[in-house]
Amino acid sequence: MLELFIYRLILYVISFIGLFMAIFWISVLYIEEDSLEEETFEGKPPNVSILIPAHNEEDVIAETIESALAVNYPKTKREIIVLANACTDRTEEIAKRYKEQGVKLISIKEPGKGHAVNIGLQKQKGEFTVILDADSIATHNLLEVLLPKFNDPKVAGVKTSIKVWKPNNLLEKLQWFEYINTGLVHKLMSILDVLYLTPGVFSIYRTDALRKVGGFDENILTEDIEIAVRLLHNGYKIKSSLAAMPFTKVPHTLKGYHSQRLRWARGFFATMLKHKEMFFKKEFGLLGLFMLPISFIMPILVILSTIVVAYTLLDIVFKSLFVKLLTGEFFYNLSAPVLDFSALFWTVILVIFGIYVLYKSIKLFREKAFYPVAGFLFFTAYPFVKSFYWFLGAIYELAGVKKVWRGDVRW
Amino acid sequence: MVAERYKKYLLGIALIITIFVFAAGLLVGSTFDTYQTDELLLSVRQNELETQSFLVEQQFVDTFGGQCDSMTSRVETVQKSIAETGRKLTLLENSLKYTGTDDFEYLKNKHLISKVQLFTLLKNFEETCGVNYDIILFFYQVNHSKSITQGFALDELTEKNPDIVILSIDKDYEKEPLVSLLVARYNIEKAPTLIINDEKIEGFISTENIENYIN
Repeated sequence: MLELFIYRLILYVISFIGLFMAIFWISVLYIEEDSLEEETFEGKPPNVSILIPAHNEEDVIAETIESALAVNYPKTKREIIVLANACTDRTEEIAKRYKEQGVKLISIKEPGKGHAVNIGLQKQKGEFTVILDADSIATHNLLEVLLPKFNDPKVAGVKTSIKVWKPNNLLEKLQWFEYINTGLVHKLMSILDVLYLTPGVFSIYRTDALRKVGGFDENILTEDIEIAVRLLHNGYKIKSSLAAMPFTKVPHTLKGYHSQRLRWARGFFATMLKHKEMFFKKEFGLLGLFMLPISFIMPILVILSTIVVAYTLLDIVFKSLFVKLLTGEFFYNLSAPVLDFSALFWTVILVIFGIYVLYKSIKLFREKAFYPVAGFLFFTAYPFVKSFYWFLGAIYELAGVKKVWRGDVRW
Repeated sequence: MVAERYKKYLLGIALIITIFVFAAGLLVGSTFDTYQTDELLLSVRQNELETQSFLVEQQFVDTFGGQCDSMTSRVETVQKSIAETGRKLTLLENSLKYTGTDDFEYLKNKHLISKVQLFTLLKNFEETCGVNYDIILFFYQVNHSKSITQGFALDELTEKNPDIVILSIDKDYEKEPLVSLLVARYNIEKAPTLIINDEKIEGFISTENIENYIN
């Protein structure tokens, strides 16, 4: 009896919170649809430095540099710096080829992306700093659409809405859905000023704000999340733009995916621990009172719902097998204890909301492709995968497992 | 910006809508539950009526004399519908929401009384008309896997042999003194326990083995 009571309690609590989150974001989307429009920059074009941190990226670096060169911006107003970080391949050699086009190269011996970007930050001259990961591709309009966000002097960082570069296999397609979906959610978070990350794919920062808060944290695996939270901690705002859509190459093997997600999860956890005093503080508004705590506990809820679903399925399977063993017959009506029509109703509502948000995202991202199998898995299995990494990250961080910035995969 | 005006209220608005959607879910759930309980109530009442009618018929035969043959088919109908109600009851019983509610306890009690009444009647009928019924008393426990499995094995048995009469009794159902009476009478200690033609068998027993006992 107690077991069933706990089961139902968990089911109801998860359903309530899940519905609340979905309804909350859909309300923001509904009320703020006009805010999705973009503005133009006021004043003269400022100096912009594009930093490209790279570690053994010989395969992709040329494409990345060329995409940075192709960004629409007065040539005298922008500088491009490749930060070759502990490279043992031809990355530096390839970067040197662009010297005549004004691309600077800085060789950094000590590994670590945070460290590399900090050196770039010291040497660059722009009022605004762009971080462009070497596995990413900039698009022409990026600066035109991102700079206007800085009209508000409180804005210190702007993230872009990242698209997945040519998804081929299932894993890449799943991430295609994920990037599109989070793209819209991040935009909504940005409208409410609760956005707390600026991915390295292509994010732009106010240089003096970066310097004022002390540059990037070199000890955290995701310096791009940490810097955003630190800027927020210091009273700055982070915005997101839906007009700027650079591309990123996502891991296409499970091994690559595993190492990336573990790094993200560890970085997220470490960042949250570092800035834990922001939680439940009124001065940080919605961010401190709602967004950070909910982001932190959401994966716990997803794990709990995984347990609930697994329990339901195992209950049916085991009871059927047990009966089969004893009587030689299969009975299917054994699931009666766990059939709950209320939960069924909420699940249907949640699925409808999920599909609606995804539809909106795909429309806003002006995507024409659609992958049904990946789409189905994205709704069903993928949240559990993400939550799994959240836990793994927490365990690794709490156990103090040694941080390895890079292995044989991209950062 | 529009955002500034609504921002303060967003959490509140979302919370109110969530409460509405959540409540709608609870309503859907409880409507379905009510439907199930109503259906059960209907069949319990039907059984009550049939058992009583059977009882009266037997008294009539006792008093005025008559043919035992005509009653044989009656026994079958009553026993079948009682078994069907039992199945519905067990399914609901395994769902947490119902156990413990007054409505459910009332139905369970009524059903149990009908069953014991049928048991007594059959015993009587065997004596007056000289027929022989295979009666199985099945003592079970709620939410007990082996009991549930035994239930399925017995279902299978009645499908093969419609003449067998099965009366299932929740051995821990203390609210009904009749249960204590039966538990004491047969000295029931664990579930599942079967009383097949007054012989006691403890623990799970497969359909084939029950058939062997009967034959």
